Amino acid sequence: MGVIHPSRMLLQARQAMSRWPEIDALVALPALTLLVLLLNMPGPWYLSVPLVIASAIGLVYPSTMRTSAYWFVMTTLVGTTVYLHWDIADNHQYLFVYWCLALCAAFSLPRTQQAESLQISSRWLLGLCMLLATCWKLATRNYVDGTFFEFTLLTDPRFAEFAAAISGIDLQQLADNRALVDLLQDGYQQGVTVNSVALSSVAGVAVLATVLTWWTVFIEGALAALFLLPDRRGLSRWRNAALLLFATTTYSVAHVRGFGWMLMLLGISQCGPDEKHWRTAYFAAFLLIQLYFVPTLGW
Amino acid sequence: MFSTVDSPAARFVRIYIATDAGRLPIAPPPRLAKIVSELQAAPSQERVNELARLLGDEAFIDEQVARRRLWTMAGASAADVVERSQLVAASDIEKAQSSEAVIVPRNVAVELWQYSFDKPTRTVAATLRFSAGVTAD
Repeated sequence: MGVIHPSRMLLQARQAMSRWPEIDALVALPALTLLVLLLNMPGPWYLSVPLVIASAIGLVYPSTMRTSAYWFVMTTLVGTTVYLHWDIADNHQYLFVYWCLALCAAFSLPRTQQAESLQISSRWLLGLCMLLATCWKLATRNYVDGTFFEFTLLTDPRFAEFAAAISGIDLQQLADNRALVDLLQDGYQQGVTVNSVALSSVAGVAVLATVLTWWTVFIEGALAALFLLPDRRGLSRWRNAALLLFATTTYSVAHVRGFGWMLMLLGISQCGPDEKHWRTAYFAAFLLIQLYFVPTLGW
Repeated sequence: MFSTVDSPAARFVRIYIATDAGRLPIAPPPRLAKIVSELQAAPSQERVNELARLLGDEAFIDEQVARRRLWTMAGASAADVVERSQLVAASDIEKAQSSEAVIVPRNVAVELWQYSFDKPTRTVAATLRFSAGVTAD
C-alpha cells in the first residue's frame, strides 16, 4: 500500500472543497432564520400561529422570503413578542429582532446590493454584540472575581457534566448543590425556611472558573475588535477563525442553541463574495451546535 | 452572555397567608405567574404591593380537597394516596362547589428575596429585598 504525501492530501482536500456546492447567502439565510425562529422563540399563540403560517408560506413560495414585506411582518411579530415578554426574553431574542430588521432592510434594496447590505449589518451586529458583552462582564464585579462562573459550575445543570469531567467534582455533589438552592427558594412551602446554604466544591472548580472567566473575556473582546476594525487584508480570515472557535467551543458546554445558531447565521452573512469555504464552515458549525445535543457529543 | 449572579433566577418570592389555622406558606398561583416573573426581572416595591393586592383578592383551598374532587369525578379511590397538605389558589368552580373548604385569608404577606453567592465561603445567602402585606376585604 503506497503512502500518500501530505501535500497531495492537502491538494485533494482543496479540490474536494472547490467542488462543494456554494451556499447562496440570500437563499440560505432567510430559510435558516425561519428555522431559528421556529425553534427558539417563546410560543404564545399570537406569535406561534402567525409564525408557523408565515414559515409555511415562505417554504412553499420561497420567493416571498426574499421580500422586504415578509421580513417586516417577521420583525413586527418577533419584536412584539419580545416587548410583551420582556421579563423572560433572552438577550439573543433581541438579536433575532435586529436580524429580522436587517433582512427587511436588505431585501428593500436592489438585488445587487442585498448581499453587501447583509454583510455590513451582520458585521456591526456581531461586533457590537461582542463589545457590549465584554464591557458588561468587565464592569460586573461578581463576574471579574470569578464568582459568576464558580456559582454556575456548582449549580447550573447545563454545566454539570463539564464541571465534573474537568474539575473532578462529583456529579452527586453538584446535584446536592442544586437541591440546596431549590430548598432556599421553595423550602418555605414545606415549612423549611432556610436563608443560607453552603455549597460543596473541590479546588479544581475555582481554577476552572478563573480560566473560563478570562477566556470568555479574551475571546469576546477579540471578536469585538476583529469585527469592528475596518477591513484590511487578511483580517477576515482571523474574524472567521475566531468566531468559529468561539462557537464550536462555547456551545459544546453552554447549550444555548438559539444564540449559537444566530451567531452562525451572522457569520455566513458577513462573509465576502470570495469566502465560499468560510460560509460552508459556518453552516457546518450550525449543524455541529445541534449535534452537541447528542449526549455523547456535547458535555 | 451578560453573565452575572444578579439575575432574575436569583430572585424569588415567598408568600404567606394568615388564616384561622395560623400563618401558612403558599406557592405563587399560576394565574399570577406573569407578575411574579416581572417582579423577578425588575424588582420594585410597587410590583410587590401589586402582587400582594392581587393575592388579597384570592381564596385558597387545600390541594388535597381539589384533588379529591377530581378523584370523585373519575370514580377513583383515594385509599392508597399519601396525603400532604398544601394550599393552592381555589378556582371559581371550587369556590362555588366547596365553600366550607375554601379558605379566605385574613391577610397576605409577599416577600421578594434575592440570593447572592459568597465565593470564599461558597455560601448562597438570601436577603429580603421588598415585602408587602394586604388585609383581605
